[in-house]
Amino acid sequence: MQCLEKSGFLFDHSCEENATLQCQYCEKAVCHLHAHSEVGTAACTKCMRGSVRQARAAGHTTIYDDDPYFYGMTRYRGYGRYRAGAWGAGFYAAAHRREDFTEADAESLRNADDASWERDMGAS
Amino acid sequence: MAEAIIDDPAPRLLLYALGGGLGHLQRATALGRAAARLGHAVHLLTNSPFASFLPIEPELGRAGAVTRLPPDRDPARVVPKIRRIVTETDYDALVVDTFPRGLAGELADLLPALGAAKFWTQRDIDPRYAKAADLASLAGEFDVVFFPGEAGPVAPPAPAAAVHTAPWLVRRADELLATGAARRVLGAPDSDSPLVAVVGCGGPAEIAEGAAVAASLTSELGARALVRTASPEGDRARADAGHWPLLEALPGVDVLVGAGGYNTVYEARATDTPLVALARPRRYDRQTRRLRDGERAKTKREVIAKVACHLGQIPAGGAPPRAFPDGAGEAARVIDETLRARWRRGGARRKAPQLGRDHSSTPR
Repeated sequence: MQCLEKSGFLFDHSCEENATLQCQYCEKAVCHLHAHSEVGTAACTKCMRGSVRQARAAGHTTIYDDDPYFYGMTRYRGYGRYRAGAWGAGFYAAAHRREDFTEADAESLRNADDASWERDMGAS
Repeated sequence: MAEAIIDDPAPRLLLYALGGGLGHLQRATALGRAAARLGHAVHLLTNSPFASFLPIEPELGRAGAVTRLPPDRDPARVVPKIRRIVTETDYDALVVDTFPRGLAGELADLLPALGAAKFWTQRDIDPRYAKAADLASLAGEFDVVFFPGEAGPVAPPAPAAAVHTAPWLVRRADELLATGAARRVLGAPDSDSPLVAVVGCGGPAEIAEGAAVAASLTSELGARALVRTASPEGDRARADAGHWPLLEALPGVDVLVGAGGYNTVYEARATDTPLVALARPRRYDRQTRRLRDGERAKTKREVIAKVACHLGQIPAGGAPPRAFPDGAGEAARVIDETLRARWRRGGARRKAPQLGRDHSSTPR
């Protein structure tokens, strides 16, 4: 079975790896790349991201800071800020670059929750 | 296939009870056994992973039947079987538990064309899903929308079609075991110590966590209480006697530890059994909202503290048995009356196929 996690830096993409674990929170089948271990339990990237966000809001700002799935300031300095000096600002400011969206990107812009309804016969 | 009119007074119900865990199956079983007592022939459709070892058939009586679909999470493998059953089985009423579109949307295009009476059992469901799937547009397809002990996000267009009942529990109050018999089935026959039962009917990780909670309780409470795990299947390695339905044995339980699912919560409240619960994340069910503040624990440590607090408040001799209303029985009577009213109005009972000639069981 394919990993059911959809994630990405700018757009959510489907994962092509095989699922080997089950998230203990949402019971989603995920691969080893999208499974994160905390206190002996496995959580998918999406569920863990919620926990990480709460922890950072509570002041634990360095938690998972260097993990590529959690967009911390160590790995992605300036993530979320696109002014001069922030990550990616120079790339998009270059006059010769035209990064246009097409209809192919629309699916990734949908709320991930919308796509996951009515997909799992084991849900409740 | 030509339609045929048959003349048989025993209503035939198809109960759609798909969904993970035990909740949908157990709620449908509660309704099914109440309907069987009224003489209905009940066919229950389930894909619960627990169904393979639970004795559901005796609950539904001689005219009852259970179709156990494999607990396969992939809709592509299960939906064709479901659609065939819904469109090619003889029944007078379809009762859909929780998911009016079907768990994978497989009922949405079938409902408007079905000749049978339709009933929706609406438990709490994530309103984001209700909105995204536009469940409100389907509510009018149902003759009755049941609210079995809790509110749901979708009201039927006709207020008279909404029927609020007490929770649907798989045993009536007069069917519960006496305290002594209950403690025997839970593996505590000769002890006067308070009994703490830890239940878990979710996925393997949750069941394992329940076992860890039970182990911690055993260690922390010591001689203050007996701790038993109680699952439908049982596990000797965990000193789990295994008893189904647990509701029968709740008179022997002084504190119940579990999650915030429908059956655990309403069975505990119906029997006045103190409940300490860890709300579990579910795709559609909002367990945190179902639990009261006094019932909800957020960590294992909090579970232990709340259990200890309850143990200090147990009345001498235990609490007296309490009668509780039979919500499933009330719902079965509503279904029976609705069907007979349809027949009196001239609505014919229909043999399969349930759909009109221009419909098929294959989605377009």
